[in-house]
Amino acid sequence: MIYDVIVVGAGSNGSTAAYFLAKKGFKTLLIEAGGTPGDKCHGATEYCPRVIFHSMPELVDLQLKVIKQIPHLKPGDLGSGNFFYYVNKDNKVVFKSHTVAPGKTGQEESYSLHNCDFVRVLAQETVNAGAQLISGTAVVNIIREGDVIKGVVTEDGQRYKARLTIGADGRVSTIAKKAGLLKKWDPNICSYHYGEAWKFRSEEEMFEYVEHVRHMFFGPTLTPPKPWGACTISLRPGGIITVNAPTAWTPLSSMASAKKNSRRVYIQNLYGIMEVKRMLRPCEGFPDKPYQRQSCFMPGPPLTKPYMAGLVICGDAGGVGSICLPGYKTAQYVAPLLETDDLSDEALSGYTLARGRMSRIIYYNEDKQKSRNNKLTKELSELSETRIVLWSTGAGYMAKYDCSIDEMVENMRLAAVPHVMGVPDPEKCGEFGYVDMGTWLIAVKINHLLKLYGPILQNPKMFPTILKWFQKNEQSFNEKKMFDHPF
Amino acid sequence: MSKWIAVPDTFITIDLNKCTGCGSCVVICGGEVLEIKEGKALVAHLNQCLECANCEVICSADAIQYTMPKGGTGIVYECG
Repeated sequence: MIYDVIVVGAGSNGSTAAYFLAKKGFKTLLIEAGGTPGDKCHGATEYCPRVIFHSMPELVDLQLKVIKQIPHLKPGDLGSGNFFYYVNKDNKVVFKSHTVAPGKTGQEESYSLHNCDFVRVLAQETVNAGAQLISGTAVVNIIREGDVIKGVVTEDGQRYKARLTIGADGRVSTIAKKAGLLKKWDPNICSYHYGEAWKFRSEEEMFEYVEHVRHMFFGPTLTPPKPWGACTISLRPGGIITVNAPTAWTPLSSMASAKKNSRRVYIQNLYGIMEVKRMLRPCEGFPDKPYQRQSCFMPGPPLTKPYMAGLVICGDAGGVGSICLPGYKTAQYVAPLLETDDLSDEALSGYTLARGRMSRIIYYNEDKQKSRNNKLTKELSELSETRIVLWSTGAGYMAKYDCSIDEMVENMRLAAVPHVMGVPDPEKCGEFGYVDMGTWLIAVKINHLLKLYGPILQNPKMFPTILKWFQKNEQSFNEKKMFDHPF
Repeated sequence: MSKWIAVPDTFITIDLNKCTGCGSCVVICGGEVLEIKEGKALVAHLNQCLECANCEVICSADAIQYTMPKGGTGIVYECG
């Protein structure tokens, strides 16, 4: 039997692609290496479908349908807000600020949940939509006839043939490697991530000790220097707290050259901070035996050629990681080609730009977007993840003012906060801005962003602590051109 | 809590002729799987592997090869 499509990997992107293709009536086979889809998906995410995918109602519907079937937290229930802590070289918090997202978005429209739960239900929906699923089976090779990919070979020697193969098998992509499209990821661009999960006895107990959904810690004891990353603590369903040290904003090569193992050094420094201890002390096993450990890297740069006749590479496997979006975009792109049965190298050549990297990109000016779209899209698809995220961490601020972390902490200005938050400075990052407010906004178009954050930017009263401190120090700042130590 | 389902064959192979013993893989490994012994990297605790493949990417000597473990084996994540 020849399938229309074989999707390798039932993660969020593979399952999404298979869902939409099966729904359109294509004979779809989904092959997953894990015993059950979701087994290999660690991490947890704030899903805010209506914000991120507002132009893709089909995808919003699918995500909401899945989310409603599994346990999740709504930041609205927790008191939505992000706390930011700036830690000095002595590993002490010297400055704190917090933000509260205005409007409905932050309160009601985002859901914190475990990715493995999400993927399990999503894959089930894909099966319900008509796809066939084989789990617990790794794909070990592709079937190649000349320059055309005709299907895959699994570890038990079975050969499955299809008109189109979609390699959505994650960052360790057998498909991309066997097809010769991926040699090796660049450690200067791949960003590193190490995390530990801790468990409270119950969700109620967790809320007692930890207010607000996300706490972010910036400072020289917590990540390698340049580009500066952050450590985060986030609330998850089931009384689980996830701690990331660093959050995936630090290149693998910086980690290696700093010669400090996150598990031994950075995360231990984080646990040494009084504010963190206070939050996590009631967790079972703290600080020696976490409930779960996880590690990964965000691959990059995106493959320059993510396709060949009969094959496309989707999501992390092609270095364009994101939840569901690349899978959706892939399905959108290949469906008409499957209809006309033209899956040649040439027909698939538009896939490079269509594969869905844009979720994290915000256009500054929508009017200008049209004329610049093609050029910009191409440029952006070549940008490294790391470079984009600079704007979300404060590294953008440091680059702009050419200062060190300590100087930034010591000289914290009112203006720094929007930069740290990742709200784009139109002068500096007019072409793109990246928002990882984490909690509810991962990425939105700039107009949407300004609608949400305009009030914050125009009204410094939204930062009460900073404003108070700013006023207190205004005179001395005017004299010395430097703020006094905040505490 | 994550589970570990026994893997029949190793899936991290180290080419000892290429390995320079620089230790980057040990630094980068969140599972403490790898160790340096007699100047060469060694897979010491495979059952702690978090399956991130950071070791392969960071190895500048291209000595480490990571493949996915056999279907249905290796780590099973339960939560974030």
